[in-house]
Amino acid sequence: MTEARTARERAGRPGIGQWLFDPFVYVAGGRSLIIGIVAIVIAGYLGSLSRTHFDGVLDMHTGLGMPTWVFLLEGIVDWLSLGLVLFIAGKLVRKTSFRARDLFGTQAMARWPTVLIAAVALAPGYQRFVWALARQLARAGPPVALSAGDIASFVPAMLVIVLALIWMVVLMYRSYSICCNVRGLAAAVSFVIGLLVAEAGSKLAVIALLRAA
Amino acid sequence: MNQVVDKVQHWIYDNKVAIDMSKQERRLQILPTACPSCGAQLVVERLVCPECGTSVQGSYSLPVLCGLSRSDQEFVVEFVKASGSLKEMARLLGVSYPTVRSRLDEIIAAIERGAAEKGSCSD
Repeated sequence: MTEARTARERAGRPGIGQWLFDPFVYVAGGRSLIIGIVAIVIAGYLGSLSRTHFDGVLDMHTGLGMPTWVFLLEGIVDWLSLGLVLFIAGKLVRKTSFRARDLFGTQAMARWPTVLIAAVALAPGYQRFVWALARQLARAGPPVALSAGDIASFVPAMLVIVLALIWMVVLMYRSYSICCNVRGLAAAVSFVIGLLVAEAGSKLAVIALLRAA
Repeated sequence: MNQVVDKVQHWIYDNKVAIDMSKQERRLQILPTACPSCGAQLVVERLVCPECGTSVQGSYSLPVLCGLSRSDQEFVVEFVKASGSLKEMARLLGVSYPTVRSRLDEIIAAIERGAAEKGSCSD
């Protein structure tokens, strides 16, 4: 017990920055998988309330209302798409073995900023602004009058959403780098290629899902 | 005036030497493995029995594990004590399994590099 405490003290206590941007140094495997799946389900449920679709690994669009299971499956499809592509990329880049459950678990956990995105998208001002924008783009009926409050609500909400998406990508990269133990140029290049492939794959899968719904 | 300056300079020099000596004594606690001048692996030239003072002179290479950093050596000791269990190491260090796995991979790479350098030196 004392030995464990001493070793932990030597390793140092994680700061808030590490928990936000590098949590996988401390959490991986089954624990991260449970946290990640809970986050995906919450994001899907909140998304169904705010009509926020995560229709691609990096996509977030507020649009049509659909059954809740569609929103839940979108998150699952995004997670599995990137997890699978990065698993293959890790096997190609990395010479030694790594555990699939660490990569899939941490990739699920990396999607937890989507909870924040879906929650922010619930803001009434943001909803009204997006609805007005969609009507204008579709040229459906007369333009909707927006108040200054709607615009004031939309701008910070968009800022939070963009920052949360960047944060999510950082977490996805850290998950890949730590679980597959790849660093430097090889890690960056293989991650970017993997992300693009997964984005295309997930987009196609979500389109098929929306058609089925 | 010059005498005073000389005395002060001597005093500074003596104290500096004393400080350097005490630093050196402290450094003796940590086994140096790389040459501070060129970075090459050091070898043991003299071994002394602390009981009777008998000394043996020669050229002995350091074990491969001595080529690792102090923290890596400590990790290896803890790892052996944990019966080679990465899960147990993760629990002991309070980090995740892949973090421990990465650390172990780095140590393996360092050992392989050290062994390769040793091999090329003996060739």
